[in-house]
Order: sequence, then C-alpha cells, then structure tokens
Amino acid sequence: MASPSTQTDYAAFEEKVKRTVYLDNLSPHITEPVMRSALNQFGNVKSVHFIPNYIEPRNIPQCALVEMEDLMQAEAVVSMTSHHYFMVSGMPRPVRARPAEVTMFDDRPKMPGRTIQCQWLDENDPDFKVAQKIKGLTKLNAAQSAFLLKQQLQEEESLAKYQQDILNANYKKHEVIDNIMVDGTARRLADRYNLSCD
Amino acid sequence: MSHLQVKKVEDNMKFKWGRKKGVSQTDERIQFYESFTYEDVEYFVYDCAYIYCKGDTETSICKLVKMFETPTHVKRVKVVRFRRPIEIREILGNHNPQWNELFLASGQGVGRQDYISPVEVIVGKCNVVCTSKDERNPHASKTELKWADYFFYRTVDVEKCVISEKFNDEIAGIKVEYFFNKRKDPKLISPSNLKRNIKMEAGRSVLSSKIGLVEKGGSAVNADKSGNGVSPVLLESKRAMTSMGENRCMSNENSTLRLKATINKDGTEPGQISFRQDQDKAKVRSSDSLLPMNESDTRPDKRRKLLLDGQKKVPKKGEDIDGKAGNASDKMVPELAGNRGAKTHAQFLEVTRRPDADRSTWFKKLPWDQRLQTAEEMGTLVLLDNLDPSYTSLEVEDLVWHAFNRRVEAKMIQQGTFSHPHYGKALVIFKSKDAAEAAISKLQSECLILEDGRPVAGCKGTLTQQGEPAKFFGHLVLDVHKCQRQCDEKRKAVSTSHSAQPNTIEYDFAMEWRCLQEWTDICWRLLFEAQAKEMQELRSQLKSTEINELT
Repeated sequence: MASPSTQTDYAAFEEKVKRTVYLDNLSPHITEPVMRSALNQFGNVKSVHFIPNYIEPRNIPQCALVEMEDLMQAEAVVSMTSHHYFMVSGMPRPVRARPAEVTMFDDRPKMPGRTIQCQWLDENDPDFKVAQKIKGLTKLNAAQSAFLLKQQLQEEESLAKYQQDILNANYKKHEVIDNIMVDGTARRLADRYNLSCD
Repeated sequence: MSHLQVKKVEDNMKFKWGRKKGVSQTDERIQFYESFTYEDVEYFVYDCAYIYCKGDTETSICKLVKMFETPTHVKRVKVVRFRRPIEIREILGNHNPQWNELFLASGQGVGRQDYISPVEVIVGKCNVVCTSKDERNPHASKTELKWADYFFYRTVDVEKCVISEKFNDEIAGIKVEYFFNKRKDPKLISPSNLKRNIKMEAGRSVLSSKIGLVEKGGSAVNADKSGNGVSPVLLESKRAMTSMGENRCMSNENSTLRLKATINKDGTEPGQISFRQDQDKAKVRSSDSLLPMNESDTRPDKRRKLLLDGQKKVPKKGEDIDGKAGNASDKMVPELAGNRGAKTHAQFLEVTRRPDADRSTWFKKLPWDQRLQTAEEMGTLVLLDNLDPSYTSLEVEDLVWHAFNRRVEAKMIQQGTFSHPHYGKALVIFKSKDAAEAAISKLQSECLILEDGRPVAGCKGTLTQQGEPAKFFGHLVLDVHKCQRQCDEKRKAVSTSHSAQPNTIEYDFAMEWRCLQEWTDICWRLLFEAQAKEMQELRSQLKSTEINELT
C-alpha cells in the first residue's frame, strides 16, 4: 500500500520532527521575530510556528514549534533551557523546551501503511453499553483535565502575585536605602556616630 | 436527414389515450381512461413508472392510479408515490432497508396533490414487486423477483411518519388490492405486444437517458425512429460520443451494449419472458441508471447511487455485459463495498481514502482560522473527541466520509502542553448545519467505535474567543513612574532574551517558577495515569466481549 514516495515523505517529516523543539510557558506577546532572535544564539532558526489555541481556555500560555537547522542545535536549545532559566520577553517565568513530537504538527503526513478501522455499534451490540460507558469516562476525564488546568492557572496567578509583592517590597527597600544616601541622612548619622561614610 | 428525423420524432412524441373507462361521477366532462401511450410505450392504470420532476435530484417511482382528461383537455395522471429509503431516512430508525426496497406512501393526505402531467414528467416504466405476506397479495414468483427493479412490503405513513408492514384497505382512495401484485392475466403476454415493446424500448431508452442533461427539445431531435431496431441506437450513441464528454460517452456506450445484450436475449430465448413488464424493465432500468451517471461529474451523491446500480447489475446480467461495462462497475465496487460495510454493522471496516481524495485546488481557500470562525457561526462546526491522537487530519476526513458519508474538512488539534495525551481531538467543518447536527446526534445515540475500542464522541464546536492576548502570569513589571532607570533596563530585557544569573532575585523567582512547573507536570502525569488505568479497565471489558464473540 505504502508507495515509496509517501515513505520518503514520512521519513523527511520525521527528520523535521527531530530537529524541532517545542517551547511552552511563552507569553502571548511573543512574536516570531522575538522567538527567532531569542533562539538564533543556539543555531539557525528555520521556522517558527505558534500552535493555535482553538478550544482551550484563552488564558493559557502560548506554545510554539521552532524548527532548527539540525538535531544538534535542537538538542542545544533543550539542554540550555533545562540547565538555565531562560527568559524571553519578560521575567522571571522561564521558558521550557522539549523535543517536539509527531502529534504536535497539524500538517503531518499519514503514517505509511497505517490503516484505520471503524464500526458502528447499534444498541443490541453487546459492546454498546461498554462503549457508552467509555464515552462517559471520556467526558469525565475531560472535566478532570479542565479542573486541573484551572487549578494550575490559579497556582500560577498566586505565585505571580506573591512574587510581585516581594518584588515591590524589595524595590521599596532599595528605594529607602537610596533615599537615605541622597538626602544626606546617612551622612548625618555617620557624623553622629563618628563613622566614616563613603 | 435532419428534416426527416424531426418529423419522425414528432410522431414519436405523440401522446395517445387508450381505451375509455368512464366519466367522473361529479363532472361528466372528466373522462377516465384505462391506458395511454406515450413515446410508444403503453402505460396501464396501476402500472409503476419512473417520473422525473424538474428540480428533483433523482427520479421518483410511483404507481399510476388514475388517468383522466379534464374538460380543458389537460391530461392528468394521479399517482401514489413510493418512497426511497433515502427519502425517509430520518424515520428509518432501526429498519435497515435493502438498496432496492421501496416504501409505499400511505395514510392521510397521500395522493391529494399527486397529479402529474404525463407528457412532462414520465420517464419510463418501472417494475415493482410487492413481497408483502398479506393474504390479499398474490405471491410473487422467484423470476418476478429476480426481474424486479424494486420491491416493497412496508408502507410509510407520510403524515405520522410511521413505517408499518400493514396495509390499509384503501390508499389514496384506491383499493389496496391494486397496489399488490397483479393477478396473472393471460392477455398481457400476447407475443405481438411483446415484440412491439422490445423495439420501442430500444429506441426510447436512448431518449430517456438523455433527459437528465439535454433539454427536452434537444433530446427529441437525437431520438431515432424506434421501429428501425438496434442499428440507429448504435449510430446515436456514436454521435453522442463525439459530441459529449468522456464520462457521458462511456455511459452511452454502456447503455448500447446493454440494450444489445438484452435484445439478443429476448430474441433467442423468448420462453424466459413471461410478463409484459419484464422486457420493459431491462431497458428502463438502464435508463434509470443513466440519469445519475450523466450527472455524476457534478453531483457527488449521485456517484454513490450509481455505484449501487452498477453493482446490482454485475451479478444479474454479468454474462450479458460486455467487458467495458463490466470494468466500469468493477472499478467502483471496492469503494462501494466500503460504504456498505459501514452501514451493516458487520465488522470493522477499513477506512480507505475517500473517492475524491485529490480535491480540486482551483479555488484558493480562506485561511483555516477564518473558515473555522464562519463554520462556528453557521453551526457547521463539530468537535470530534476521543480519536487516536496519532490520526492525521486527512485520516479524520476519510473516517467521517466512511462513517457518515459526508465530505468534510477536518483538522486535528495539535497536541501541546494542555491537551490530553490520550484523546485526539479534531475540528470538523461540515457542509451544512443539518449534516453537522445529524452527525452529532448519531454519535450520541449510536456508537462509532474505532479499532482500538475508542468510541468517538462528538459535540458542537465552540472556539476560544480570539482577540487581545490574554493575561499571562509570571512576567513582573515595576511601576514605571517610580523608576526610569530600571525601566530602561527592563525594556532591554523585554526585547532580548537572556538566562537568569545566579545571585539575583530574578534567579530565585525563576527557581520558584520552575518548581511550580515541575509540580504541575507531576499533577498532570498522575491524573493521566489514573485516567489511563480507568480507561484500560473499561476497554478490557470491551475486548473480552469481542473475543467471546469470535470463539
């Protein structure tokens, strides 16, 4: 069934998958040029494809497939992001990268030689009830996932808020110290305690 | 030549009433008849015929129950229609009709408006046999059944939408006996009658075969004098071949071959033909199948119809059909087999490429995003769930084609961080809202099960609102007016990318984020594992029953 051309097509596609990295935890403001300039330091970016979000909630982070020139460069990106906290277009949430998988591509060719089979079950079929149960379970699982996703987003929000508070407090602290130096309070105190203040 | 032809044709086209039957009780000027002759075919009361009304997608089959002429000399025929299974598929429910089964319309309101003008709509005779076990119905013999174009044993109440095997005493004011098979009548088998009909039909079928594509006048000119037998038919088809496209040429050729074959057969084995309608049938059938064939290049649904016709002919007349006709139908049979398999619940059906895999790319399509948007607004968008994640978009399109017989556009949702690794989803755009809703309800009431025991789920597709990018947590900003200096630095950080250096607050924060990321990863993994286990348990139940069935 599988003609040679489809096989070579598929092989070429698999090569493409190998040299592609999947990046998530991306800000929705990141655009293709930003992505290119961010990853060009590890090699040559061949293409950037942001995975469109059709059915998930709106507030999930952006994900992207970035095709590098070869497998080495792709591996470099993955290892770098796992060893360092890599920031793109904002801090301090680090970007993550992992090797891309076949199912992440929407234009993937058909696996050569693979066939699909399907069957309509009617109510009298002994499997019908089980199949209906499976359908129910599918829905349940989807609901569970949606719930977990909501939890995750909440966690992220609270962490961001917590960090923002710390950052603000820290900033205030630095500002206070700065002001002490600027308005001469530090010098006066130093004189008072007979200390030198440079 | 053309002169002569036109004149002959005019003679041919003549409509002639047969024997008078009586006048109407209410209005004496209304004259009823027992038969009429049109295009050299004699139609009797209670014969079945194909009619084709302008605008219909296919011919319909009906019983002629009354023939009369109004005071204003308008020729009218009252008919009771048979319904093809496809016309009443909404109410079929668990009934699984055969391809050549018909349903007699019954109940209130039948026939009230079913008056036709024979000259305009009648296409040819049709042989319909009643296989009802009703006592009043003369049992149909095997040969009758073999030669029948269609059979029926159930009625469909057009008002209450109920299918029933019971026949009321009267349908549209006509005694039900007339809808059953005819009592054998020796008069009808007279040899002279038979011979005449053979010749007439030979000429006429070419005519009717063209009704679908040529305007009436045009077809009339093409038609040849019937009395000349076979050779003008050949001539006709040759001419048609040169003037028409390849497809049509093929169909015409087939018809010629078939006609020749049947005529030969009639000639050499007259004993086989015992009923007047029998010899009509062969030709009428071919003309019936030609209608869809001619249109096949424009109407995809027709194509399938044709396949059915093609297949039914192979076993029946296999020895008669010349190589070409045989090839044509052979080529189509595998596709057909697939289509039918999907319906018969027999076993798993292999999903092959749908017939028009290489769709035309003449028209540049709108981007997928926009098409999705419009589809959502139109209600033609369906989200299929619980597919194998490794399916490709094209495979999903094929799957839908085989399961629902619908041509759709589909795209798999790309797997990402937030998609379920076990469930593949696909967005499918149907051609119409009805088709989409029918598919959803069918998926809900029945089960489309894939080879690995996944029942496909479907629901109305709703898209995530597009527009302004949503809020993204985790990129912190200091109040700008407080600190110009830091702001400049920040701007630099935004435009470029960098790795956090240890010993900064950024590094600490990043570490917290990484912890959260790892933590959520673990949560997801645990959830997926638990879900996979549950699913496995359910699926194993499914498998066991399958094995039980096999052994």
